[in-house]
Amino acid sequence: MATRLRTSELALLPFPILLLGGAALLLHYARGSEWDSVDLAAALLFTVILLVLHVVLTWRLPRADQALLPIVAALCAFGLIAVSRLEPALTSRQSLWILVGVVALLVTALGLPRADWLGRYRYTWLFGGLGLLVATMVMGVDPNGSGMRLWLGFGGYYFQPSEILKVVMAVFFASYLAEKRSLLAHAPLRLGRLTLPPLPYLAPLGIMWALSMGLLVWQRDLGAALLFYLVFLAMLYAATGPRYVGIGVVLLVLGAIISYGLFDHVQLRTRVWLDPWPYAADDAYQIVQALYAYAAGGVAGAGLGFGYPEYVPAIHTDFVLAALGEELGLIGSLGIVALYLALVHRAFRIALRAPSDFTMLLAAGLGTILGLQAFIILAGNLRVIPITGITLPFLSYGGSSILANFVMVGLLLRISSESPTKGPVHG
Amino acid sequence: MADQVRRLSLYVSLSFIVIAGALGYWQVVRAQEILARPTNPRIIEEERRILRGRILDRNGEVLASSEKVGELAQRSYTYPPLSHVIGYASSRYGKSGIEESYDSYLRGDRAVDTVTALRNKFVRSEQRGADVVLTIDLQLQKAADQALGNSKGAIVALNPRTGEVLALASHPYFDSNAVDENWGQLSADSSGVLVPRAIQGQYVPGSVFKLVTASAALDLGLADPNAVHHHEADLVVDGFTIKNTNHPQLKDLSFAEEFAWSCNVAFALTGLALGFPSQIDYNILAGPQPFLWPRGGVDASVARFRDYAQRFGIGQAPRFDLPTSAGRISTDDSLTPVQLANTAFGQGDLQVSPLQMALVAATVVNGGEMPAPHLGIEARDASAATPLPVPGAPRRIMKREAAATLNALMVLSVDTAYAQPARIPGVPVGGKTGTAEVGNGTPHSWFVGYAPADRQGVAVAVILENAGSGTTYATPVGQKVLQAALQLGY
Repeated sequence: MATRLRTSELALLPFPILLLGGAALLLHYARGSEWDSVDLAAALLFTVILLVLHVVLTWRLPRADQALLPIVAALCAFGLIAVSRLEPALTSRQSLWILVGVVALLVTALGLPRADWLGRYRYTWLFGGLGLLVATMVMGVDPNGSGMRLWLGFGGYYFQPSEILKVVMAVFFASYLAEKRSLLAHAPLRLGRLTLPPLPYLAPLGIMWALSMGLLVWQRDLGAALLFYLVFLAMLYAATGPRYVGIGVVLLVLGAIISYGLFDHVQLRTRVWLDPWPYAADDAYQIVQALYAYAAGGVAGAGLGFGYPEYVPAIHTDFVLAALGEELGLIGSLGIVALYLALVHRAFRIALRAPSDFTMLLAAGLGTILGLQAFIILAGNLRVIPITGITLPFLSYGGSSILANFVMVGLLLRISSESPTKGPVHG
Repeated sequence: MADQVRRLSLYVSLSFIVIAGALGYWQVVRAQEILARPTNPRIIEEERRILRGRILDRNGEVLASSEKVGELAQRSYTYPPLSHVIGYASSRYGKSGIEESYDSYLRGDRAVDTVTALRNKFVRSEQRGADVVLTIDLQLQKAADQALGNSKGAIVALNPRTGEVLALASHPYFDSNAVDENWGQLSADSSGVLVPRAIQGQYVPGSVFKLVTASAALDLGLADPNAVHHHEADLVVDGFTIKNTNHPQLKDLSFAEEFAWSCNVAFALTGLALGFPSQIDYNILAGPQPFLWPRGGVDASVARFRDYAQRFGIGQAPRFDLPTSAGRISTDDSLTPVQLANTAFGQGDLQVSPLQMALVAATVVNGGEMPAPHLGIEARDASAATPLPVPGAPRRIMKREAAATLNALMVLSVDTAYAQPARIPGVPVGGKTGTAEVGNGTPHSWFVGYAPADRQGVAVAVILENAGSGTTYATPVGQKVLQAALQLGY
């Protein structure tokens, strides 16, 4: 029975717990105040959640990947540290969101009859997702004054459909591509002397491009549009090889040019991205303050609680990296990047051991979503690309994002537990 | 398909290399440059939290100190008349004085011992600066401020051997404790309340400048202190009359007495004749016959005069712990004989600071070597101290013998002539008075001197703006400061 114990996972789990506990101590020291019972309760709840999750996984999915949970827990710990440092009033809500996320993870990982079962209902997912999108376009609200109507409200709770949409779309594309990939990869369409790809099967590509542009036009949600499109392109590449990459990139560039020409906010963001300093007092205030934060952090950081994150507007949702970069320094920020890298690595490792084409594409798609989403927001935070308002997986404050990300981890755990390899998969 | 998934995994992973590179770029490569940008709010915020080191006088008396009031540090200054020297450290209006000059020590950026350096680096909220010890003697400073009273003017007192500045009084003064509150009033002030007159005041020197002319004549061997000249007539140079009025009771004077009684005619002649190859015969020169120029004409004299003025550092800001003014000597290619004659006795196109004049007096009593003036002694942490570097270096101005002769002339002036109010019973004092004409206003009253004259005790320069005669006003003030210094053991 020893082989059924998840020993690697158990050995790794103390690290995120110690990370959170240590940070709570440091924050207490930095504030020089009474113990904040919320921080303690959050750390305690976090520990209990992880242990329960570990026990349930050992019991029901013993062969599931053992590194995923510790990596995700470490990222969540950084997220909790950031929230309790930046917006202490939101710490309890973030802890509860993690709890809800873990429940969603368990429902996903344990509730599916088989991972492949998801693929059978792809059009349900597609139309459900499109329905959500349409609902947001029509009834979307803007509860926190971000200037973008990206939320749906249900009796005081707000929910961002694009977060769930990305999971649903990944499932749809994995299923569609798993079935049609040989057609898409090989069937020629001749037009005189030119050999073209099979146009009818290219419809999804066109739809995806249109969907991204739609997101952009209707909701001004640059980040989500870019993410959706790139993830689709990546999955198409995984399924069919380099055949469509060229045209996909051309369409991407075309979209970028068109949106630059059409929208003031795209031009503004591009201008601010190219040279923020002249606009430091107004349009580029946020990014300039973030650059100061990184610089102030240096290699070793100012120390938790000793930086000035209050200078960066919306730091707990849009610029968590700036806060952590300042207080934890390059050492801390590189640590976070390393965690994302490890997460992506595990996702693709699961993909490569997946039991079917569908699950392989799905795991690769989920890994790409997590990786690219982190990349897009981190790169925006670091002026590598223009800033876009998407969340940093597991780190940013926000319920829908955490929920969606835990569902993805649940799917990955489930897929890994169905890996055809005999015996336990070691971390 | 597995190959493509593997390659995709590689591409996604590589994108994180870009992120890591960007982090290194912003957090390390560009960090210093970005942090120094003026719109960085951290600079101001951190400034307000740092517990700056204290500023102490040479005996450990506290001149400035900080304490925490809540999160922020509050700075207080114990002796407002020193505000020009100590300066202020305002988050709104910047820094001045010692607060500015030794900012890195006072902030703790340049910690003296390694323990403090490490603590400051890693425990930011506790950043605590080093104490800075100054050469100022608060007791002497108080005596100087008291002697100066409500007059506009300045006093410099320094050690003529080491260049340690013991007192720097500039009146009127402001209060560093209330710079933020009074900024509007201070910056609008027309009396120059923010100007540290002692080191940045620019004044016509009048007769105290005869020290420079006399140094040149004695160092060049052109003047014999004991040669007696007959004085009766005014001197007319190119139609310009220099009146022979300073000592109407005396008709026959030696060069030493001419110095002591501050004879303008004799010093005009000395200046004009500086280009001569050998001793000046004042009796011939002052006669009715046309002035006999040395070879090279007036330019030869101008060149030597300017050479000595520049040796004394006139026209060049003294290197010091605080910003100083350069003073001014006409840099026209050639002075006319009238201009040279006037400049030689301290009028004309000439300006000096009190610090520069104190250094001239110090040079005389220090055997012809000008000390390097400075204010900093050391920076101190809890466990270690490091000496503060002296900004300049001492330099030789004239021969030791020439300085000794001039010293005797200054003592003569105090013992027998215009500088008599500077006398201190039982102590040889050297001094020179000045009454500097300023257009139509009341003249500036000057005194420079030192005591005791037979060793390097203390040298002073005193100026009272528009007060009148040097003998009547500045000299008694100088005497009080010298006496206070002697009582303090200098």
